[in-house]
Amino acid sequence: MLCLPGDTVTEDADYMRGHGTYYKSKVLTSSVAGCIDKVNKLLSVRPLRTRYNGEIGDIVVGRVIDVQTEHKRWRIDTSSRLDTILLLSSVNLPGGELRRKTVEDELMMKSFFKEGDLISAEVQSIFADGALSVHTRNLKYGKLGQGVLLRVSPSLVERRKTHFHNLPCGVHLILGNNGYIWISLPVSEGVESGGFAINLDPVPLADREVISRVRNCILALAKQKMMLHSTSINTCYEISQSYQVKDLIKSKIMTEIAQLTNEKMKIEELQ
Amino acid sequence: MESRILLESTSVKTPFRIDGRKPHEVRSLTCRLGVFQQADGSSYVKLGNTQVLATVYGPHDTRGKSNPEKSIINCKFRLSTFSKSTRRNLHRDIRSIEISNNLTQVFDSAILTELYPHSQIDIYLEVVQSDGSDYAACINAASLAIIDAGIPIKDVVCACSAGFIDNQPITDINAVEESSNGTPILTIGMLPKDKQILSMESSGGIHLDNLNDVMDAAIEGCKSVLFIMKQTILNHIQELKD
Amino acid sequence: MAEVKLSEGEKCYLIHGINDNFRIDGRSCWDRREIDLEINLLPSCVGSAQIRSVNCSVIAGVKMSLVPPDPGRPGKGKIEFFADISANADPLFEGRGGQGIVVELVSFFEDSYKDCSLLDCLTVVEGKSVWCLSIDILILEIGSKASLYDLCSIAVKAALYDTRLPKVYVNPDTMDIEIPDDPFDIMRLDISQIPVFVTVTRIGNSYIIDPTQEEEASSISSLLFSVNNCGTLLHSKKLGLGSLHCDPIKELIPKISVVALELHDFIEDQCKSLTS
Repeated sequence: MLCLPGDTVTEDADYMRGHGTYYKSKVLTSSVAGCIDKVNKLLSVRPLRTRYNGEIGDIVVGRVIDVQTEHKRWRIDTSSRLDTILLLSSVNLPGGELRRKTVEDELMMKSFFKEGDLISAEVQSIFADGALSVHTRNLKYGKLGQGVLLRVSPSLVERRKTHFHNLPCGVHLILGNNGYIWISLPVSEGVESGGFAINLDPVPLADREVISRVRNCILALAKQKMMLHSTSINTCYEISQSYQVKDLIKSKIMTEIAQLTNEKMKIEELQ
Repeated sequence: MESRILLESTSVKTPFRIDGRKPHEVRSLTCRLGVFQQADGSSYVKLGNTQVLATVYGPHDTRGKSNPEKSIINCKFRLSTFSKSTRRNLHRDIRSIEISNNLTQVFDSAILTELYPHSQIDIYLEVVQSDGSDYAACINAASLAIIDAGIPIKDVVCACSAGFIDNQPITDINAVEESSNGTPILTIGMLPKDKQILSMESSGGIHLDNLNDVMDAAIEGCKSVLFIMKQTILNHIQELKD
Repeated sequence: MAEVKLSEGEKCYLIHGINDNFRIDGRSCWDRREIDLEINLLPSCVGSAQIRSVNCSVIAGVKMSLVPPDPGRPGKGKIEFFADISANADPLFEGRGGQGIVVELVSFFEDSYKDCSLLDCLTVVEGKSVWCLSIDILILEIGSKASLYDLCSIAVKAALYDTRLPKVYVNPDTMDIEIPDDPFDIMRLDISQIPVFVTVTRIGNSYIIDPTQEEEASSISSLLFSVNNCGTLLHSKKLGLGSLHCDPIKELIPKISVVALELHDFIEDQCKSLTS
């Protein structure tokens, strides 16, 4: 059900207040334009577009804004309301083993992650003012190598069990909950991106075409405000094959392939 | 010069205005949401020939002072150089600063700022074409841009202007009516559901006995404007339905 | 257009792609993104145009006034340029934040329109009075700076195409100027000689046009060329930091004129289809 700011969500006092709602003289009222989501007794209104509202356990892709050696932390841009924090104590140091962080490590912070670097991470905790704290203490998280970053609205990425996908077309995809999407080649077993050294060898042209096609497909879906998950992206990828990669940035074709994807997915759902 | 702004029509009792409208008629209103890609929220409002573009950035980390209790609202209003028939220079004019301050107050009260401590919300308004009721159009545009950005707000804030000419209250003043000397103008910005007035500003003399009627004219105008704004938002979020 | 800072991996991926003539969005080095052009949208101006291309949006408006000519150039009209970046484009541009780009842009335009044939048809009474066109460029959204310059030149050319100047009658005895009130008694400008800008950006070992923000962030430097429809270069400038080797620039020249002519044709086609 859709509602607008100021609309009454429910007059039933049993429900709890979720995101996008407020109490106006004890009546639960919507504060955004969106659709009402009900989870048990929790009522929230989900808008079409918003800044990222992080939750513990979310997978995010972020860019390092700066290194704050004196505070032993990095500031990360995750399109949240406040800058996200990565503490030195929340990273695996090169080598992977867990050990106490030394003074040398503090001085070396810039060599681990520096300004502009992209990382994948998991939300570990949320500070009182709403800022997120993330960690990369798992081999699958860490610095990202060669590939393409896309930014879409966080509301287009659902919370799912897995956000790391190896698509059948041979592309590795990280769908960050914060709407940052990373497309790259699959990482070979054992050399997961948790390492700090990244491979800078040229990527073959054939692989580039696949990555660019996936990129353009995701943008086409996002433009039509369609949810992004491995199924929709795969379907769109197949439909897009009738066009050249460079034609997929033309607005007419973008609309067309997104609509075809939508129809095809609806048919498959029915079957 | 034309001294009477209201033109007495011969056949009908109600007089017509210079642009052919009836006294309580609001000019045609077109709204669009999400007109820019890079901003968090944006909108375009065309009220008659007045055209306004609004963008919202935020909530984001502040650049400087922050408030631990609530979000800071920063509104900036600007008339573009070609907005009126004579070219204007972009000197800092007092009126623009005043409108910026008024808008800041309106949206500081309407947005649920306490949800976003330490943050800042920027609202930028660019009047591309000015043909009267700029302030009201800006409130409407900003309100839509905030809703597009998914920022919690108490209600769909809407605004309309009204005036008083030849003993007749008229709604939604255009530039010709605005510039004819002595026309009083009252602009009301409100939270429509609770009938709470967030902004009330008038210039020119209105006899207090007539204020009631002029206020009603503005509030009626707000209702017509609100109807179209709500339709626009609903169309925009239609995709969420499935 | 908040400055994007890319990671080493992204930059490397992007540059290798350009060396293969395959950009991130699938374009080749000399492909441009879609351009959307609209004219005659500002009632308060004698001519106006709006241009959009993905995340870049510019409005140009023309206003006119009668002024005495410069004593040194009695038979030439005047064109003034003003540009302005709206804070809508980015909070960075609030107040006077966009001054750097604006000053650069205005000087490109002034330099390339200095001896434009358009100035000759703006004379009303030689030595006494000429038209002065004030062209305002309002930048609403910026992708990359390099493509912004190209798009601004298209917007201005289209706005001049749209410009309707009132026909002026001069009384031969008194030399008084009469401007009739008839809105249909107008004069249009010949825009064929008006230049467009082509900005080429050096990334890795190649030159590209119409870069995205990410591409611009990994570029070495850019070159701006202002070219008219006869293929005459009216103004050129190297933009930004970095240094460029002279040999590849020489190889560029034939391509620049092809791209510029394409743009001229594009503007003419679009404007014609919009007015008919």
